Amino acid sequence: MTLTDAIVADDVEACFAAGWTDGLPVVPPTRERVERMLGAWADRRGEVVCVLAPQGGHATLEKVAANAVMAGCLPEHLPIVVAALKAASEPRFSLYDILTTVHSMCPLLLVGGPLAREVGMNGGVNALGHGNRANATIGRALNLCFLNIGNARPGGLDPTTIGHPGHYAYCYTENVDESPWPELHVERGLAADDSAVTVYAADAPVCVAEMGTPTPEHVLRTVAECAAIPGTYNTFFRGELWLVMSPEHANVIASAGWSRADAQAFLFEHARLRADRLWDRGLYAFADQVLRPAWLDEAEPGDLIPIVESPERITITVAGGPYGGYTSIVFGEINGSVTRRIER
Amino acid sequence: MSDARFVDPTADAFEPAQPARRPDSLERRRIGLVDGMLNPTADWGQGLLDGVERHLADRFPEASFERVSRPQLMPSPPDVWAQAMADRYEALVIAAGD
Repeated sequence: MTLTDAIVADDVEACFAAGWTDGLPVVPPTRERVERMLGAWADRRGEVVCVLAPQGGHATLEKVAANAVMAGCLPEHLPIVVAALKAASEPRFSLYDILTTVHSMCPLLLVGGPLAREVGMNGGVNALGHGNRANATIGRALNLCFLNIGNARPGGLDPTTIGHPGHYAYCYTENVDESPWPELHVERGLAADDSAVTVYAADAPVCVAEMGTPTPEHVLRTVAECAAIPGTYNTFFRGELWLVMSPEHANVIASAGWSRADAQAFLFEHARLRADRLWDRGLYAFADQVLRPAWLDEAEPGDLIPIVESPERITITVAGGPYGGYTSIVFGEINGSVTRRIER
Repeated sequence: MSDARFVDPTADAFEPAQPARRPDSLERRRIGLVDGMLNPTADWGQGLLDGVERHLADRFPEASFERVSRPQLMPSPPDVWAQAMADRYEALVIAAGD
């Protein structure tokens, strides 16, 4: 070990000792590194980007930059992290609930538009997995900000029962080269040359294979059946459902002349459960006068209860490698996702 | 950690919680008694609230009391529920715990 190695190792251990890490080693946030991260934003270092739940910590640009350094980000990643924090802290996202619930969930971050390509994000092979610096460090920076600025510490203000590996990093971009459809932010009204983030309160992805039958109906029926299971928050609250569809699945659907809206409508019709399979199961015991969904009292035993309120509440994104008939189902919480333009 | 070489990544400032405006007296007030215990089936909060209600009723005989269940899972941000409680009641007592 060289002297330099020893100093670096000591700094890494100092960050562990300070309680700043997510359990993995971090890049020590030296003043020099934070200055490089801030770059042209150095004069605005004290500007409060947002107030972060659960403790209401002021996320200044300097604090966000320090966490981005620790995550291993490059300076060009910082605007994405900032936009993601702003999106996650919008009241309708209910970050406080997400970070303080016992349910195992975590904000999933989708980055779209030219900036995602410029910083080298991966929407192709292993898009939701490991191996890409931008995906990994941007996702990690977001969670380090929750930990250090919001004070969402496991066992402290974060009481999650089982936990979620996405709290290390849960971030991807769409495969624009292989997708038959526009990126999500374009579908939501932003321009194709806008760059944007979308945050979604997400369970872990459940990967569904459907490879034998290249028709939209076969693909979507299998996905629908796997999505309609008791015990998820979707089944009970009928909030937004998120899908990460492989290009192969998306192109099977599109090449038959189906639009994304057609796929949403099909899934809405088929992702349903009989009411008598839901009574007295899952979150039923939590139903009270505030949260009691109407279907609990109104449905007949054989009624088919959809797992979302409307077809538009099924969000379909396209990512992953070009080969393989897979769709990952990402069950959600009660509130929906939030999309926001990235300011450079 | 105070190490001048590093920028501390933790927050220096926090959004201050705004304390609720306190009424001068609870007499003739509409008071919500909230069972906010985490375990919804244990019913532990009710015994505590029974005692609170007896105590307050002795001191403020013209106050009215109503029991409220705090939702364990909120369909909207907690602030929305808090505002709904503020709109409905003039004072709120919450039994909190595990």
